[in-house]
Amino acid sequence: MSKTVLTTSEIQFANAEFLPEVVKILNEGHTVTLRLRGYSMRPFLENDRDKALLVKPSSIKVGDPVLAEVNPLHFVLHRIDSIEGDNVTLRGDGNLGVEHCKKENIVGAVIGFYRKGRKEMDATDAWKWRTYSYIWTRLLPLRRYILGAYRRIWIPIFGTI
Amino acid sequence: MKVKNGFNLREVCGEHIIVAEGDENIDFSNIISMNESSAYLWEEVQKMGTFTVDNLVELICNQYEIDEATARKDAVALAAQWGTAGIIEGDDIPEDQSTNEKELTAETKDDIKEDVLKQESKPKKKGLFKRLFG
Repeated sequence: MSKTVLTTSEIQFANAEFLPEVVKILNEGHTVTLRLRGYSMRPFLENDRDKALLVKPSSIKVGDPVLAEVNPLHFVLHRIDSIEGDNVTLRGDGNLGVEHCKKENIVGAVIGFYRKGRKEMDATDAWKWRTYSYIWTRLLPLRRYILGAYRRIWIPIFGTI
Repeated sequence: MKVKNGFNLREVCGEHIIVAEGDENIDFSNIISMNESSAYLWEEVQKMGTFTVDNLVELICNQYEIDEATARKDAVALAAQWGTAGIIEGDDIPEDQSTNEKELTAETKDDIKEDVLKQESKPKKKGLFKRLFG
């Protein structure tokens, strides 16, 4: 066979343009793998390193990481903090504050994450994610200090986890 | 040569990307994208069933003002790339020779202009003090 000479390069799409297309594809019944941006899901997920496998949401519950359109054309991938009727409160694992949206603004559910370029997925229904979620959400009162220490001490010395 | 079944073009944010129809998952961290001209050729040869390099040359010459020799060179390179990408099948896929002449094959190559090439330089080792307070 011939050598692989296809040029590989990185294309960056603007979220506001790209994610509506992703939502359309999800609604067609496909699943979508996306590279993640931002630091709002630290410490588990890292900007530009990890990927998420998304699916059209069927049922959502507190604790699930979801793709949500919190403002028109502004999408976030955050964890559901609480659901009251039609109102959903979201909080990124790496965030202290919350965002609000309606149930219909939840446009994607996460099947799992690919971390650190691995081929194996960390599924959201597997022990690793569930254990991490259990501990991390309960550490909320200490989150400010843990994240601060992680960012200012841990990462400079040991790098991201 | 023949276009493999189910590999359809789809436009996402102005990029022509190949999506395998049967595939449940669409992996945006690893996509095959085509520029305007190769996307056009892809759609044409998809209609044709089987195609040869001569067909590609004909299509290119009809669509663009370009001499046949250049068109042929581009057609061979493109078909070879499609072969490498695994989106066409057949015995007459030309050998991929673009390793050394990447820059020469102009028009139909999948050149993506607005790409931000990742510059991954390994962070330099710093002393503990600098790492903490630098």
